[in-house]
Amino acid sequence: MSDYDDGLPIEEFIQALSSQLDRAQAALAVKARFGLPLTFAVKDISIDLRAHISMRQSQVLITPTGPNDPGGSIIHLALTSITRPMIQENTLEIEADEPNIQEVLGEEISDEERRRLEWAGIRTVSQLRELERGGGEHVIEQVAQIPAMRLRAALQNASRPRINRIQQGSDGLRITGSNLRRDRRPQVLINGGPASILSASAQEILIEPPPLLSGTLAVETEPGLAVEADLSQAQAGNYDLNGREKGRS
Amino acid sequence: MKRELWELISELVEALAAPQAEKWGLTVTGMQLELPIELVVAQTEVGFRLLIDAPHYRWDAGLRPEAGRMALQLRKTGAQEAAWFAQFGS
Repeated sequence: MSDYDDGLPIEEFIQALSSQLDRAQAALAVKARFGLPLTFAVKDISIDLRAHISMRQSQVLITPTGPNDPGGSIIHLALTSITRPMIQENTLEIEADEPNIQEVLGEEISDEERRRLEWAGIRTVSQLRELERGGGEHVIEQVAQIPAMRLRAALQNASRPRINRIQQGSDGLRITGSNLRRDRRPQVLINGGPASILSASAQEILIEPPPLLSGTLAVETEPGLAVEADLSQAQAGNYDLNGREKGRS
Repeated sequence: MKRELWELISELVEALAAPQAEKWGLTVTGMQLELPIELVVAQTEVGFRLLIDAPHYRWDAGLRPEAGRMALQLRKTGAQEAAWFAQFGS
C-alpha cells in the first residue's frame, strides 16, 4: 500500500483528476447510448483547492488541508475540454514500439534524474539522441544535472543492436529485434562472410537465406556496435534466439 | 461517505438538465455552477482514490475555512453531438 501521509505527487493528483473527468464523460456516454436526452456536457471545470505544498527532492507534493485547518495555499486548477487537433498538436509523436527512457536506460539513471529529464521535456530515447546529435549534451547536463559522459555511455548502451528472433521464411531469413539499423545500412555476417541484405529497418532485417543454418550470425550497425547469435542452435522452421552482444557475456 | 468527482459531476449534469423550458421559448445554452467542495485522498490497496464532494456540513458557521471551490461550466449539446457522444464518447 502506498503511503500518502507526506503528500501526493502533484502529477499523480492531476492524472487522477483527469481520470475522474474521463469517467464522468463515460457515464454521460452511457446515458446517451440508452437514448436518454443528453442536454449538457462539461465545457470547463476549475477547482480552487486549499492544500499544503511540500517538496521531496525534485518531487512536488500536495496535502489537502483537513477540517479546521486555516493554513495552506490555494491551488487553482482549470481544465477544459480539448479537441482532436489540440491533442495532436500537443502530443509528442512517439516512434512505433519506442521504449521509454526508463525501459531503455533502466538503472543507468535514477528516478530523480529521469524526473529532471521530464522537466526538460525529454521523455523518449529518440528525443535524447536528437539532443545529443545537436550538441545539446551540455544543456542536458545543466538542466538534468546528469554528467554528459554518463549520459553518452548510457545512450551508447541503449543503442546496441539486439536480436530477439530469427525466422526462416519463403522470402528469406528474417532477423527481428531492436536497434538493428541506425543511419546507415547494417552489415550482416554469417560465419564471417557478408550476407546479402534484402531489406533492413530498426526492428527487422531480411537477408537471403544461407545454404546452411549453422555457425554465427553477426549484425553490425556501426563500428563497435554489434550483436551475435548462434545459428548452430537452429532447427528447421522458426526458432528463437537470445542474441549475445559482441564483447559481452 | 464522500463520492468520487465523476459521480458528483454526473449527478450535477443530470440535475441541471431538468430546468429546460423550450416549450415556453426559453432555451438554456450554458450554465455555470460554483460550489464548495471537500477533497479526501483515500488510500486503497491498488493506489489512491480521489474523493471530491460537496461539504458534509450544511450550515456555514463562519469559522471553518472553505476547503475548496469548484466552478463547473456546462454547455448545451445538440442532437448530432449526442449521437456522436453515444458512439465515441467513451
